[in-house]
Amino acid sequence: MNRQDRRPPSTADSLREYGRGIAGGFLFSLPLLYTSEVWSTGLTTTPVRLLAGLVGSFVLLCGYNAYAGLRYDSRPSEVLIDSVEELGIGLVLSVAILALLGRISVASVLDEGLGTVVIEGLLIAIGVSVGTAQLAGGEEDQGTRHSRQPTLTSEIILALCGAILIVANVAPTDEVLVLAAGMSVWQLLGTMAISVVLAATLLYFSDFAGSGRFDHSRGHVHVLHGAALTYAAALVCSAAILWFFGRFQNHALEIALAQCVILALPGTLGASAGRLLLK
Amino acid sequence: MNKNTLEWTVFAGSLVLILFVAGTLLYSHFTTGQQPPSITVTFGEPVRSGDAYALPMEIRNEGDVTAEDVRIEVVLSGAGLHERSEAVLAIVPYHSRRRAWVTFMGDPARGTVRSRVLGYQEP
Repeated sequence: MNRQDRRPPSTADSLREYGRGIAGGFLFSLPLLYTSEVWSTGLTTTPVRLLAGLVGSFVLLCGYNAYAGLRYDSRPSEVLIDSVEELGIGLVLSVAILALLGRISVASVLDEGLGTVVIEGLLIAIGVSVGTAQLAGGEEDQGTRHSRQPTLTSEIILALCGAILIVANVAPTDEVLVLAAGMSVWQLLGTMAISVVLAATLLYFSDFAGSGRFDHSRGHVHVLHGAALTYAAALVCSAAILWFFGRFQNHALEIALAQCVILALPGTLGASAGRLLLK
Repeated sequence: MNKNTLEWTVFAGSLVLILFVAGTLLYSHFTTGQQPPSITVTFGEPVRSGDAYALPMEIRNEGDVTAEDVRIEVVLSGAGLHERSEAVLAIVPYHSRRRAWVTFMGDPARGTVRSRVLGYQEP
């Protein structure tokens, strides 16, 4: 857990930060812990895919902590340490809650249960990271937040974090595939158009909290650029999470793309919210 | 580095845990093959259940691929008995086992019990 003050914090301060992280972890990932498709995906996902998820989540955590975490001036070593902590906390919380819910046992946690623990743990870890920063209160915490200048990289990281918190809760469900199999090309194109319009509306025309830097008076190209960036982040995030959950396996390219487009709609909401609200 | 003892402890524990998980997954990747589901059934001791008998089964998948919607037929024959029962398991992960029960009106201990995996699908 990171901070601007170079003195070590008190144990009480650390416990408060961990508390926020745990709250955030559960807040953002609880639906997944109650989703049977996630449990069964954990049983069938290959070790390579889980490893890729582990690495991808760690990179995302590093990005979030570097560009949008609790403090704006963390050194690279602190970013790495914080990310390791958050990933570790996510895995421990995953074991604890899955054991409490009876989805894993002592005998299965290192065998068939490991996949479920890893999948849930990765998503909880992102919640821990976002929760630690976003749920912070108090003068000291607030004081460090408004000093960060947005950059293209930080905007992309925020959009990805926001998108993943939403799409991860939808991607494992069978409904995405059902919709993909039943929608026509025109419906899919319409979904894409609605998604881009949604991003533009949320960022530039809705006067949401945090929308001050998204000024539509700078021209249509500026608005289109911002909306396209947000939608692209949602689309990439959707593809990555669908691949991670094995939703492209044994399906035609058209079905895989249709799933991405369908998932990118809620993903755009998440990406827009990420750019607006995450700090 | 402005970390206190608690935070260094959490970091060290997290690092060990992540390396352990990553190591386990790597080990699993390099030691797991592509053998299709290989399902075997073994029976336990039957117990009286109301007017019937319940027979426990242990279903093992020794293959490297998970089997879904596994249907198992169990036939009780001999000693004047001829009954058929069936169990359906939603999922039997690779290198794993599941426990299920089938019931018969006759006592399985008196006859011969045979099982056959009717079918399953890969995820």
